[in-house]
Amino acid sequence: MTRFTPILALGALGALAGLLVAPACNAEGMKMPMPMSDTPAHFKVVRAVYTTDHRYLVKLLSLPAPIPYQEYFRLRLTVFSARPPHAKLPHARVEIKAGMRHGLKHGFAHGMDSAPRLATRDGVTTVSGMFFHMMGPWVLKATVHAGGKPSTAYFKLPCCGK
Amino acid sequence: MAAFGAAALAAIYALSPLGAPPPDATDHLANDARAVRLGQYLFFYPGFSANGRIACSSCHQPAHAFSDGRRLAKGLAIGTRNTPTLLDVAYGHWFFLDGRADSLWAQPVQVFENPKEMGSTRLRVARAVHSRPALRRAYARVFGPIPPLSGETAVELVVANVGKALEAYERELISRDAPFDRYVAALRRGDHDADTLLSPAARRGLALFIGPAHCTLCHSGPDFSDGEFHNLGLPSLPGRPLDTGRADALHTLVTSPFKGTGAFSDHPNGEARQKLEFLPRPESQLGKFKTPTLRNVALTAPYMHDGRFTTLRQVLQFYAEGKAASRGHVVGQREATLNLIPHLTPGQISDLIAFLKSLTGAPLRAALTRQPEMP
Repeated sequence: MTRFTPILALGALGALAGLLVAPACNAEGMKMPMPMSDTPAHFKVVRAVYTTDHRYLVKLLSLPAPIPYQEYFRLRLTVFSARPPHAKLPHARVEIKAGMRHGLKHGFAHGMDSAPRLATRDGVTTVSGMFFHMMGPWVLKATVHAGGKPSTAYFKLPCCGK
Repeated sequence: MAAFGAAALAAIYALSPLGAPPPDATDHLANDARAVRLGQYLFFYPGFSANGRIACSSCHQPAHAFSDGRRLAKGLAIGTRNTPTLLDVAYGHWFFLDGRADSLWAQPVQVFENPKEMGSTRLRVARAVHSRPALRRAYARVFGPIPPLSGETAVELVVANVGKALEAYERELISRDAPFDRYVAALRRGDHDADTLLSPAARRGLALFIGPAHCTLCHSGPDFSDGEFHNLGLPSLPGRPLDTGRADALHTLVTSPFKGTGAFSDHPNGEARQKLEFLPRPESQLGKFKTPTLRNVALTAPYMHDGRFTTLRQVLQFYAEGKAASRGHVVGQREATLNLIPHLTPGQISDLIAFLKSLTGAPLRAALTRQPEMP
């Protein structure tokens, strides 16, 4: 029997997908090295990401660890100005989408089979009804509306623990 | 000893064994032995149908792995979809191919009322139980005395309980001890002769299944299904009505009095509420159908929601052909996930088929496959 390692196949796709996601930065704006692979076991959840035009910093305040598989979960996020001293933007509105790229350059190969609800209070947006039904690397797309053009941040989220 | 690496073994172990079905909080009698017996009796009972000749077992035939071997279901008339197997149905969280029921007990009600299936009414179903002493007694043993059928709520209560009895029986239809399960058990034990339990072709098929063919993206877990909905890009068939899949099912689901948050649910505020609260928008569900289990798939031809493929080879050729196979009009949008499936050679398809055949479980106990003498 040929020895087979699915990690390699997924890893190649993951590496491609990884190049297409907005650069991940830590809260201080330092670029963080991209993971070698999008296989869940091999990539780290980055909790703070700049929008692609670098106008805003979006922070995930809470996220289950691990994200539950095929169970509804909730996350909370908040938006800051990208410029120091990173003032919180309590009136920013956020839209959320999540999906899997599966090697696509743009957009998602598929989204979630749920429609999350968002509630914002004191500048913290709570997203309820997130649901990941497939294992692998998901991308959370957070689009910020805070005056002017919308601006989008991408988080890579691994699915899932049981 | 098989030569799978650690990651491959982890992927294989995720597929077996099949544990106990998840509990159904909306039906507190889902595992009640008396409900099982009543449900088994009713499953084979044709008295609910408009012509008195069609039972659940007319389409979900034990001899056909609780399917019917037909392209399209046939009740009072020919339907529009293929009959799915009921084996391992208890592992799902949406029911019907389009998910228009959110519990296993709510599902039969729509079959009773579908003019192409049983063509019946809720009142007829309730009266059938009410008017037969043996059924009345059996009902009372499980659910308490049957109420007078004096109003809509009483009728719906009886019908919901009929559904719950059927659910209890259907939860017994678990397929176990497939050659693949025995193989995985041997791998877990570290048996040196594990490979004797699965043919070389089936093992090559397994390696494809968990690896480059990406089958486990959707056919995941021990029941080989993510339980959710996908648009495969199947082109509409000439002369057949367009099938919008889950898009139109969502309205039926949320307006049903038998939904998980409704008056007949035993736990309307738990997961049942979440499922309905976060339903996707209908337009995002166009052309999507539920991922079927692959356990016993060799026994459940023909395939796809409309039974268009008669063999597993045809199914796999469709996947292997990629986007080109979606020629013609596709309802909604083909899911790009499918692009991950590589071209498959005829040999690889044969290997995958050999693996899929290894998912055929041991026969159920004979006593579970026929109507008991009394409910």
